[in-house]
Amino acid sequence: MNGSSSSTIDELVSAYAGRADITVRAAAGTLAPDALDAVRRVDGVRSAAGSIQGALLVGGTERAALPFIAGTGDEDAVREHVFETGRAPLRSGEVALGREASRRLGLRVGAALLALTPSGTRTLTVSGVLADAGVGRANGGFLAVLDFATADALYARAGRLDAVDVVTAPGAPAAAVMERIERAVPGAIAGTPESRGGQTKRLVASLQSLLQVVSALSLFVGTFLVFNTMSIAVAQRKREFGVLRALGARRRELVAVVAAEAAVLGLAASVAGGVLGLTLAQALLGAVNRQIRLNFIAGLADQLVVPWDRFAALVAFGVIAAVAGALGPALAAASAPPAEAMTTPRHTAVARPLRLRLLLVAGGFVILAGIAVAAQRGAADTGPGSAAALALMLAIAMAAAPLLALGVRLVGPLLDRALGLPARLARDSVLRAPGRAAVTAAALAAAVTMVVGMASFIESDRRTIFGWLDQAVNADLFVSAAPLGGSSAPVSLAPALGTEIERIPGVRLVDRFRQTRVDYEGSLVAVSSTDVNVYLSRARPLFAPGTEPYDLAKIIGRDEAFVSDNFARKHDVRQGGEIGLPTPAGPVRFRVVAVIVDYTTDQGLVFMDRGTYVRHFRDESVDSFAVMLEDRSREAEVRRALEALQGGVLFIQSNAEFKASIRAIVDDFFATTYVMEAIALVVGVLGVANTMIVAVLERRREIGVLRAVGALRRQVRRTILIEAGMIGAAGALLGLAGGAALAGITMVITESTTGWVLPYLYEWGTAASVTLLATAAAIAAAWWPARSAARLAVAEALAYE
Amino acid sequence: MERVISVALEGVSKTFHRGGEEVCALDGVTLAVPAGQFCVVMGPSGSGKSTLLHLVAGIDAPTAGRVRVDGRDLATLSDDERTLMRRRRIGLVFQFFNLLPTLSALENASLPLQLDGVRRAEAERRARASLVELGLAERLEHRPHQLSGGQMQRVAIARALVSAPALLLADEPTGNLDSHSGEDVLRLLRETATARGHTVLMVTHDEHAARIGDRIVRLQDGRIVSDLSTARSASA
Repeated sequence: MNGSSSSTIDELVSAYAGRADITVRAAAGTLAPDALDAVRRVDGVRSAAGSIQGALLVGGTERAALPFIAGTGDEDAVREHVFETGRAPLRSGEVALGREASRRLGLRVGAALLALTPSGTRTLTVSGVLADAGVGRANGGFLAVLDFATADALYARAGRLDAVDVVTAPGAPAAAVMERIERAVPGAIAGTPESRGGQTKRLVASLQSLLQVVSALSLFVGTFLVFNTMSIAVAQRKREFGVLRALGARRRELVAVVAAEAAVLGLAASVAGGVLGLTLAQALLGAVNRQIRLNFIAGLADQLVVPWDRFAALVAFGVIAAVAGALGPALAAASAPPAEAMTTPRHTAVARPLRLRLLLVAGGFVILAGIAVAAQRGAADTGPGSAAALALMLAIAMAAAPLLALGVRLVGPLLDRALGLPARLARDSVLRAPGRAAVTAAALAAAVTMVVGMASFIESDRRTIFGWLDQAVNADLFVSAAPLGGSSAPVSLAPALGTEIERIPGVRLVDRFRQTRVDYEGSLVAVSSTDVNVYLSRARPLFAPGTEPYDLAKIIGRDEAFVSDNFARKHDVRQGGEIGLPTPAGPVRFRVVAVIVDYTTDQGLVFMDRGTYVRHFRDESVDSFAVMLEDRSREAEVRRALEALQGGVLFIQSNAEFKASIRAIVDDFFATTYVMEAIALVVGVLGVANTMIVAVLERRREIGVLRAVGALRRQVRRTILIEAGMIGAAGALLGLAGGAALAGITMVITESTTGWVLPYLYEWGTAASVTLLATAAAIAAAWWPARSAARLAVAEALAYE
Repeated sequence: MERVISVALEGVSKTFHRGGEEVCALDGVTLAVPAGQFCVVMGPSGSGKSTLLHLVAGIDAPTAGRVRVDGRDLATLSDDERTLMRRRRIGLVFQFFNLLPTLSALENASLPLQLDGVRRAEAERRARASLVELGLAERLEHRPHQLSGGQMQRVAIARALVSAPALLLADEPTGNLDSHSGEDVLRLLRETATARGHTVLMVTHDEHAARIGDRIVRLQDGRIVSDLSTARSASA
């Protein structure tokens, strides 16, 4: 799924850039109209096409932000336009649609498309529908192509361009051409088309790393169980191996046969698991991409790209786990004298020195996790943090057997007193094969670790963001062209609309909000502008710890800005310091007057007054209007008036609706992790069922004896259920400790990759409920094995060896 | 002395399905064991003697016929009732001892009482008395793997006797013991049965072992081929 999200970003970029090997963009804002000619004159440039890119707000039944591109220059040499029906937009007011856009909007050639643009609502005529090739592939076909003159007029661009895509002359080294372009066009940044995708990909990385940590842990749980199942299955056949050895089979032949069997089983199971995973990925991709779309880029296709390399790696992983699990008992069985192997399986408890060694190894992994966490503090990517999470899981796996044995010994007598003989027998069974029980407990612990760790992290995140939201978002109504959520291709609105809104009876104040992205020290930071006076009358900025309170109204008319705490942390900027931002007129230095708490973007935010922004960035458009009412009781009346503006295509949200939409985005962000946690938990619980089935099979004769000397069916059942409950509770308790550590690791990863400091929080509620749930689920999973144990044919069981 | 118990089999047959074939383990067996009798069932391997014992213990059900223990038809009892009968009225001794490997001798011997809800201290007090009586005072805390075959079988006998049952069922109790230990076990069984007035049904293929009974019933291919009282019975 991660692969698919990244791949669709690449596809979007490459479809827009076409055959270009260089893409030129402004460090801030847009490129001057003469940039295209300047680029064309650069030595080594064969052809160049300029473009305006953005999104149209489409009205009608399906209100949507439809990404568009309008090209100029050597368009045919750079981009491929293949039409399924109709032709390219040639005249003013014409638009071509991608296949998916045509389907979703229900518009064919000749149909009229009602779209809101900064110059008002316009009716465009569909001139053609693009085939699924070239530009038509971008955004999964959900896009529009406009005639350049039309886009230029609608968006009042006066020839300014978003990008110039360049095809280099044969043999011309791209790096040298890029350097020459940057020299020829002041304020331009030239890079490969992928580098823009790379930038976006980096934005997606935080989500991906989260999913990766969770999926690595799920895989860990699964591997555990494969190992466990195979080792149990082979151990069960010890007698069979004894017979084969007695009949003349050689040791290495036996081991080879078992390894081959395990490999085949592992292969079949891994491929089946992989296919199931892909099915799930397809289902989840929509949710993940919706999140990426809202936050980072205008559009992504909901197409699943199968990462075959990873698929193969996972299958290999499954096969190795199966073979590794089978090999140990196979070697043991093959090495034992045949006569011994043919006797009833002997249960070997983990000896004390081994327990101590396992604890020492677990301690070693804890130290490694600590080192990785320390390394994460200075890292920009999530590698060390993921390694820390893995080391934590290994520590849990190693510590499970000794801790389980210790726990059962400590709590056992109490349980005996409370539950009587069945508890005693259950305890004996666990202690007799602590390895088997521990592997199951460890798998469950890994799942509980994930659930508790992620729940703690998510709750810390939610509380922080929602607390900030309540403080920072105080307007009564919000007006925008698309649902607010931080799309990087906003549908901009004309500033004049603000004046219209101000005239509506009941409106007290209107704030004009605009956000753009600029390149700062290699990252794409957000520059936000607002009418500071209006902003201060509606919101109370939260100064970051260590920041002296400052009267922000003073920044009006000055080259001053305040920055978000994550920006300050990532770029080592302090109150009173200076930052140099690229603007269309060249670099401008701004004094940083304050650092505020802000969670708008993980890349960091620079805030300035609208006047200062318009002056330097030459951009008057508005993303959204924040409306303050004279009296809250007039909200419905003002809302109706706002809805009537611009032919009714504007998006109006109340304060509560806006906050709810942000909350929904945050919750959506985490939704995919819940699915994975649930899978890990289910796998863990299945592991308990698996272990208990084996335990019952191994103890058939003993169960028969118990029944023969007078144990009622329910007493046998209770014994099995108590054993499962012990394993479940041990796994859950171990997972609670693991969860505490994982929460800390995730918070360190967040701080180092986004600059956001989340307060450490442990979700006691989730911890308590997941402990109960895991224990109850473990008991429930043992129901069937317990039932079959209770219904064992006693006479047959007594004859069983 | 506990109230004695009688065993009666009326036209009992038991058929197993093995590899698609029907195997008749017991074929219309009718046998009455009066209360207080020590009855030995003899026969070669596969003659159906263990099956007969399982039917009387209520851990297997006949294909045809009735099995009555203490006058009650086992088929009319629920599984719980049959289990409680085994727990309180029947003592079982097996060829392979069938002790639980994780429990000590004392715990193994007290098992039926603990299953019956007797407090652990009381159950172990009674088990200890049984074990001491059987000469295992020094082995109370030993696990089965720390005991000899004879000792293990004595623990099993202690377990069978701890609930003061009226009927003792023994399945080849000397089959896995050396001759000396076997002799020892047989002596114990006979003495206890006489002292406590137990009804005993013992299965064996060992002629020597069979001589301790009051009566010897011979089985072959699932049928009774002879039913004789012994000299011991005559002298008694």
